[in-house]
Amino acid sequence: MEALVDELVSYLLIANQSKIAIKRQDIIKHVFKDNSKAFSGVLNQAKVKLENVFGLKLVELEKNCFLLVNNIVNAFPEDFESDDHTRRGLLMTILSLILLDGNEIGENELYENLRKIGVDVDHPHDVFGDVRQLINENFVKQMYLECEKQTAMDPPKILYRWGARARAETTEEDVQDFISSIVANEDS
Amino acid sequence: MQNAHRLFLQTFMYHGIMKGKEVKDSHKRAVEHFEGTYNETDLVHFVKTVNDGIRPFHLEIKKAMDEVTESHFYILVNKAETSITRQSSDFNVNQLELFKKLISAVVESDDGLISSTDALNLSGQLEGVKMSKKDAAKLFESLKQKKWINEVDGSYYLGPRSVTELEFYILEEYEAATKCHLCQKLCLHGQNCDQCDVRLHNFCAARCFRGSRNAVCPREECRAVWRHAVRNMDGDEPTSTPQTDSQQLSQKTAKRSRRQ
Repeated sequence: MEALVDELVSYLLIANQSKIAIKRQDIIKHVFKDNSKAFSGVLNQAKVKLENVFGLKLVELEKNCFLLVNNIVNAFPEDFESDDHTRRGLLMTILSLILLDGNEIGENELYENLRKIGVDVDHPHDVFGDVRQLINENFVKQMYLECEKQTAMDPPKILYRWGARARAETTEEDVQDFISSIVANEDS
Repeated sequence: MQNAHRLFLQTFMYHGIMKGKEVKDSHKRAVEHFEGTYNETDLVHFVKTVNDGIRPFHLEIKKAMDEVTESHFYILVNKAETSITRQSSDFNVNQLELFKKLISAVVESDDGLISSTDALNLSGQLEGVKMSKKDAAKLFESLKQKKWINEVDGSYYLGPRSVTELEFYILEEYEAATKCHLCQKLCLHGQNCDQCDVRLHNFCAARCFRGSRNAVCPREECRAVWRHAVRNMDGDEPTSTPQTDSQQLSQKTAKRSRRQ
């Protein structure tokens, strides 16, 4: 049993590297194989080990998906490589815009606001490259952002909200602090 | 395991490989963040505690030296899957093939180096879908960034991350792969005996011969005169031959580019 717990922990760590949600059926396929009855028990023990050894929290989302998020403290910004750092900055900006717009923002509004701060989604950006791809494929896939297509409307409207990972990894307060720090810098 | 260990471990999991100095800084930050007393000498024990914690998950933090620059690194190794296919989450099939070809070329070479031109030409040897030289160059850049390979004087070699993480795979897969006679770890770049198969890391040779003028092959059955430059442990003047290793290196790479 213990061996199965350790295997599950190993699997979750590797699966988490891509930052895409880990599906319950994949876990069962790769770790449990025929043993799926043991799932809940083993998962709970794995949770404990993830917290005790790695300081990571296993978060269960709707639709039988899982995430690993940091349980101890936000890592030091110096630790991130510069690409990630700037991307995080962009992400925080988008999260702020969503927050300021009442928790959801339309695609056009989002792009308009980004244009105002010098990020034009229609042209390859020096640092971010294809911004549309970054937003729709990276941030949405990694669940930092949630994207909803309202096909009932004509033309179909696209809305962005905070994704499950953003909700698990940060708080509205953190983002508000981020906004205040930028505003404060602009004033000074 | 305490929070300082967890934070240190998370940093490691993010980077995969860190220089000796970065590890020291990370240790210091982690301890001080959780209001512990920092002591530089605690590092060995600190890493041991982390290693004890992660062992059940086939993980280990290992120390390794870059075979060319001799800088110290710490690497978080996943021992569960030692085959190279584990890396497939980062690279597509073609890219993996090219990486494998690069590894093959490095292992078959005498000195663990392959000129960047030769490396780019490997892309023409791929079976199936060909890869353009441009894409090959991009892959090598990416491998460099992720520290799988390093570059010196226009030649690529396998960095400590590859030598450590892929050691098992390389020794299994390639007959030509040799271990350093002294430390018994995979050695791709080092000093070869003139008479026999023995190969030594530069730093292992330095430690063994300690600047002695009468260096001989450490293999009992051989004992041939060791003609390579063997520096003192302080790293200053070489004692046996007038050429330093880096001079030999630049001569070799110059010869290689003249040949092309």
